[in-house]
Amino acid sequence: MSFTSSYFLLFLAVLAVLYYLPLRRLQWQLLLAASFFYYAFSGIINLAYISATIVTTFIATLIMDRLRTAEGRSKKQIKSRRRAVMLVCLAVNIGGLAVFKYAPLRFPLGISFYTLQTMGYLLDCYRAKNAEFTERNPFRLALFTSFFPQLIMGPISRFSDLKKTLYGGHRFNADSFLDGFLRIAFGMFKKLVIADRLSPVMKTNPALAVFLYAIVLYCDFTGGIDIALGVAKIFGIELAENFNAPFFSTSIADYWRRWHITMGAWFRDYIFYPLSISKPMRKLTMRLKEKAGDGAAKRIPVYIATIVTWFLTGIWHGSQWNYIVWGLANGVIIMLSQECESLYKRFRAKHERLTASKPYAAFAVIRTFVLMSLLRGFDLFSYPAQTAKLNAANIVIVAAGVLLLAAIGFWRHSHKDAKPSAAWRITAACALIAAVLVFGAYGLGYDASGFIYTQF
Amino acid sequence: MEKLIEILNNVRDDVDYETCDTLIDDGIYVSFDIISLVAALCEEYDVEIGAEELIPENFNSAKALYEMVQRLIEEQN
Repeated sequence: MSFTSSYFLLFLAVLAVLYYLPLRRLQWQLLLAASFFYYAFSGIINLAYISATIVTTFIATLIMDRLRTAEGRSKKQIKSRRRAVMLVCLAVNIGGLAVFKYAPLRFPLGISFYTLQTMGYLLDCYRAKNAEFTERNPFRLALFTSFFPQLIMGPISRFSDLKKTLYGGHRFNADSFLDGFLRIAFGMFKKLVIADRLSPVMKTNPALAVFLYAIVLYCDFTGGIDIALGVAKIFGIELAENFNAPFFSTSIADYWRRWHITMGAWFRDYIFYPLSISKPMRKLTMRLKEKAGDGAAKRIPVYIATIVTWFLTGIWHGSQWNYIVWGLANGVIIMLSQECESLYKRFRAKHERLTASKPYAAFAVIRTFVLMSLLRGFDLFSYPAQTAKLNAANIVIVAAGVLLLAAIGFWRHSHKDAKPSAAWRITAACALIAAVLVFGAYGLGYDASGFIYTQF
Repeated sequence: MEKLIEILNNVRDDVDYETCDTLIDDGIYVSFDIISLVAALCEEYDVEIGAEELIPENFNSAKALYEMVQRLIEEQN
């Protein structure tokens, strides 16, 4: 049941009525039933896989908690036992994900996302100072793992954030509902008017392909996330933002702080930092300090962790070589720009007026956009060749849509905390819905069902 | 505390650690500095600093760092 199908909208409408009227005392239980119902559409067997993740994580976190107070054991013994339980659960779930990614089996929708999210919870429980953090109700953990708006393409939530609003007690709030509705309409516009119209032709012109793909991927992924956040908002639930104007980035490192933020945060918090401060790395740091000086001691461990993190980010996206090369290329560019930082600093100090000017800022943004688009060429590589072309009317629609997005982007950039009046938001939502109905690409030859990020 | 300030000065000597309480919030310490500081603290105080300690509240000021180290010494010995 795709986010853009009429069945999904009907499902949402029925659910919202039940949620705020007859079943308002059972809100989270209703969302859990709805999430399993929704996921069952992608294949009944998928329910078994997600249940396995929920059950193994629930049992592992309970055992880790019991071990905290195990009598007759030293602190060291308790720690190593808790770690063993955590590692077994991690191995079972990451192993399961790897089997589906690399063996020729049918890939369960959303498994990459819910596995990362649930393993994040497992690691948070392992790291928690006390037992209070652990969820004692398996059904509540099941809702955290399977909450349907974020199930198939994120955002990847942290339990400590999501639990604040996930478990019910919401009264209908017209303002929140309107925000959610507008966000859904905006997501539909990006996906159906721009991404789905442009994606069947993006590879036709080789010179433009990487740039058209950048637009398609942006509209497809941010559109899907807009719908996810909007749907959650309708139920009074706050999901983490996954994007922060990524096309305004001035460097690759900056881009990765603005694009797919929750995935970046996951790899930073659970791979990059733990690896960087692990015992072997600390030993390496101290040894380098003695033998090669402060500069090398500071940089080399970070670079090793950077490369490992980006390698894993690449294989998380897919098993084909192009994803691994793409991941490593990102890591290498971030390292190179870090190595050149002192050069940049000198350049900025020498040409202060130039580097503080608006044209220079525009140059940095365009440079990053071009570089990121070229990097995505590795990703585009796996798409089949295309020969279709857009006619003049469709080119005008796409161009108008992209200009509208750019205008909204610039407006948001300069009015960061502004919230338009309710009348404006209603008008905007209606205009977007009308545009989707009139210009949405769901005619022959278009595949309006698949979001690109659901394949990862 | 003096020893800690010395360690901090070894990591970055362009910061006034007596007054600064936004080392992380203002992006003064980047990942390179944090990681090298953790290595130095573990070495000097013989404590384990896990990833769960890497939160801004623990790293924003010399005082916060001192409190974290004291707590870890107490917990781990």
